[in-house]
Amino acid sequence: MATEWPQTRKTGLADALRGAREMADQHYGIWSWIATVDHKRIGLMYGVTAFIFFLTGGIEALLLRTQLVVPNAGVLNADQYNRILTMHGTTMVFLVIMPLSAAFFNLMTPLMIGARDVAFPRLNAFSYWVFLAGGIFLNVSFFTKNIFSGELGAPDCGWTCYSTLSSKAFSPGHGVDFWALGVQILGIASLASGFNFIVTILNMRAPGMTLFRMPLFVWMTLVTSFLIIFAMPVIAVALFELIFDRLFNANFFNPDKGGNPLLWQHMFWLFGHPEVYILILPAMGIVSEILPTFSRKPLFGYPFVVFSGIAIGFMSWGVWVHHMYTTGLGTVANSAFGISTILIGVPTGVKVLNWMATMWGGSLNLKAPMMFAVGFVAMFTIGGLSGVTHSVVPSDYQQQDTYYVVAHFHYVLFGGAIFALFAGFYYWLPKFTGKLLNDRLGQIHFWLMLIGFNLTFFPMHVSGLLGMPRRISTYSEGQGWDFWNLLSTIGAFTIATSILVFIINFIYSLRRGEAAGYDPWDGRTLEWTIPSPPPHYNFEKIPVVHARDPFWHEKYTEDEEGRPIPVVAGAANGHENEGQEDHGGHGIHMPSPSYFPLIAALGFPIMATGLIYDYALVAVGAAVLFVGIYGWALEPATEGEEA
Amino acid sequence: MRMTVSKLRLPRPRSTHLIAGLFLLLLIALLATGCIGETDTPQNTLAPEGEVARHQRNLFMLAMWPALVVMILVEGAIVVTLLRFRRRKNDAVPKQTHGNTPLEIGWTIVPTLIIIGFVGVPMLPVLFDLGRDPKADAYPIEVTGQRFMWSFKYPDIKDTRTGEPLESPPVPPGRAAELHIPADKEIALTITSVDVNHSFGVPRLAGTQDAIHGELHKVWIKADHPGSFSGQCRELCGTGHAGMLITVIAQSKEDFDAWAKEAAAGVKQAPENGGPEAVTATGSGG
Repeated sequence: MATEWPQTRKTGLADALRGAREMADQHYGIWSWIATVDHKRIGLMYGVTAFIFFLTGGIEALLLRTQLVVPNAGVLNADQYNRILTMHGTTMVFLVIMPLSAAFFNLMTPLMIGARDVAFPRLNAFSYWVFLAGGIFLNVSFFTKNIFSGELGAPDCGWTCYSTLSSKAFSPGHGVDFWALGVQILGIASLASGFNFIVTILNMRAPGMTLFRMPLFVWMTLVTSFLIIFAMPVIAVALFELIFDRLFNANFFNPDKGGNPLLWQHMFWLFGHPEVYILILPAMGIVSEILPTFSRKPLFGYPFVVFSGIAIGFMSWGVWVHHMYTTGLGTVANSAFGISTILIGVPTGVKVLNWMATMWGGSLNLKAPMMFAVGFVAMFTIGGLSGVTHSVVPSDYQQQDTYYVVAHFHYVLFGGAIFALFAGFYYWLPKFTGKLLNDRLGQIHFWLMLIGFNLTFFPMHVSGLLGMPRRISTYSEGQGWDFWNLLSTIGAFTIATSILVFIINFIYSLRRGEAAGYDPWDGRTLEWTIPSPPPHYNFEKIPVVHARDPFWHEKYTEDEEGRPIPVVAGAANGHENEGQEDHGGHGIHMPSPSYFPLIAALGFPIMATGLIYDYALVAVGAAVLFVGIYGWALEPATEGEEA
Repeated sequence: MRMTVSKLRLPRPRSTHLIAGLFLLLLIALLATGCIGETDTPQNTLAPEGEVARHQRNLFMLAMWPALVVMILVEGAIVVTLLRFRRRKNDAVPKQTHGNTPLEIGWTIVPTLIIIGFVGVPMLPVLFDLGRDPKADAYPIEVTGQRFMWSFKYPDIKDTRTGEPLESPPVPPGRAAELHIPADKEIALTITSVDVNHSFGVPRLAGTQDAIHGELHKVWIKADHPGSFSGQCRELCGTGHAGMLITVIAQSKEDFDAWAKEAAAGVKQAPENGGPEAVTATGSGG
């Protein structure tokens, strides 16, 4: 498509990059991706990047499982094991589930609320580049020692990085520095995108889309964004204190100098528990879109599902001590947090029942997205119920730091979040690639992953109850753990196979996939009213919303008995929105591409590297950041205004 | 209405068989889980041989069985829903039910009351009993975690060589440190660490308790009868974490006193039962 934007503007600093800039203004070519501020492209970049990190974290998991396949295995030594363990957890939480959720926020939120982009498109690009920088920075740590001689430089303190293990005295080398600064950088990305989506959702909804007509996924994006902007500052403070302790000999966590190692645990989990819901609420939102579509019924009890999501958001701030029952905080604190933990199970249970009621009485189309969404409900329920057994404080003393806990949170984060994210891939990716993913391969992927998942993590309940501590690099015979660990390892490789099937499916479908068309699933929400892939301006005409599930109501009306019947005129393509002719978006002003978010984002890893190796680099990084922000501030937002 | 029909037909009947099969497998796995208490492995959390562990096991069962029942009901309902309502040819668009407020209020309030009544309320007295300070006549022992071994100090036993309280000898990584206690008597443990966080876990006697530098963590345990109980560090503490093992040796009053006398005199101890096999130290150490 030829560019419709004038090329005459001079942009000071970017002048030197004029050639590249002209390419950026096109809709193809590498520079057009690097400078993009289009939410769809940023979403795709988030998705691809996070998926690559998912493969990295998965390979780390396979290494860990290989080491544990039999007692006293010699695949990894304890030092390598601890470092890979730390990177597996950190990667899966910060570089996979959070950014994959962010990918869907980016791809779907503007389309679902009938907007042409997010509120702050360049801030959005900035979030992505900062995330990428932070992710690379974290993984570079592997190579800070001689990796060819088997020495890994990665952090070795576990993803929770408890003090005082994280101190310079007990974790020498730069691994923990990379961890603390890397997570700090990732927090900046999360904060920027949190603010962006709150403003987008509150201000940019199409006419008629009241809060209570918003799709559930948008609601969960909103709640998650609020959790992000309140939770990330907590970990930011904790990380700054850790960095000060390590780099400048401060004593925040040093008990020998009046500091307190438990302070870290409090701050980490005060962030960490809302973080759990930051990871799972977007997944719940995705499933709340897919179940109604594939059941051909509206979500059962929309207000209950919305309010239980909000309730979870609030309550997530009052349960952090359940990670710390065994630290000796006393019986009153433990009982209070035990009760609050029991109660947070209730809104979660409400959601499960509402999802099941949504399916009940429906006409269930068991295509791959639906299978993954149902898989989410089935597996997440198990994780929720083992969570309830954790809330029983005295008995949790037995499960604390055993594989039972590992089983629990993998049922929540893999059986929950990852299943839902794959459901989202099968459901929404065709909107952006224009090609449906192959359903038969999707079914194979689903069943392999479901079986592999349960084979990996269900036995961990057993090995945990048999007393196997988590995070041990090896174990002796005669503990009764051998068989269950063997099962877990077989399961892990089954999961890996299923992921391979997905990759094959993705590549195959990109080339040979069936065309998706506007509305492959008989969808209910606005994203299905526009072409696949959507034009860069999304909506030729901003839609007007008259009801919840607006697209469904354009396609179906109700007879006297309340049964839906197709609108005759709309049977093929005569819908109010779908029918609108595409005029190529002439006259629609979209934000211009910009290099400045990338330049600004580059400043952070340079500064962080400087903090570790040479303070002079900090000044360089700060200068890069300053240049980025300066250029950004002076760059006009829309080229068309100057033309 | 636009419908997408995949060129490759969806293998529907097989899917439902698979669902049913998987469900059955899950059920078998669950029953296996229910029988864990029967297996005799050294660190079985569901085979208590001490008062604290027994209370903890009982409470776990109190929560686990209802959880298992709910799980089977929910998973069963999902399977039934999938089988019964899967789309068939010429399905009419189903009735559009938007919700049922009384029903939903019901399934919010009833589970709340059940879970508080059946789990929350019974849990509290046990929590306060297990969390109380050790009794005044409990036998005191100081437990110290350090990278990568446990050491135990007996304030009531004077080492005749030094005149100081008796301390357990250092053990190499991968070899269990031995803690001797009198059986059937309340023991007051004061748990701490000299470096990073550790956690003192001997499942057959009691759930784990963290050892934190700068904190003195007081708890009590009690072994039902003489015997030897395994445990190990539960909190990641570095490369030697997996080899930071514990053997608690509970002895009758007479045996314990005899051991104390010999130990105080510095008589070399033959390790009871040889102790558990040493974990291969694959780590590069410290």
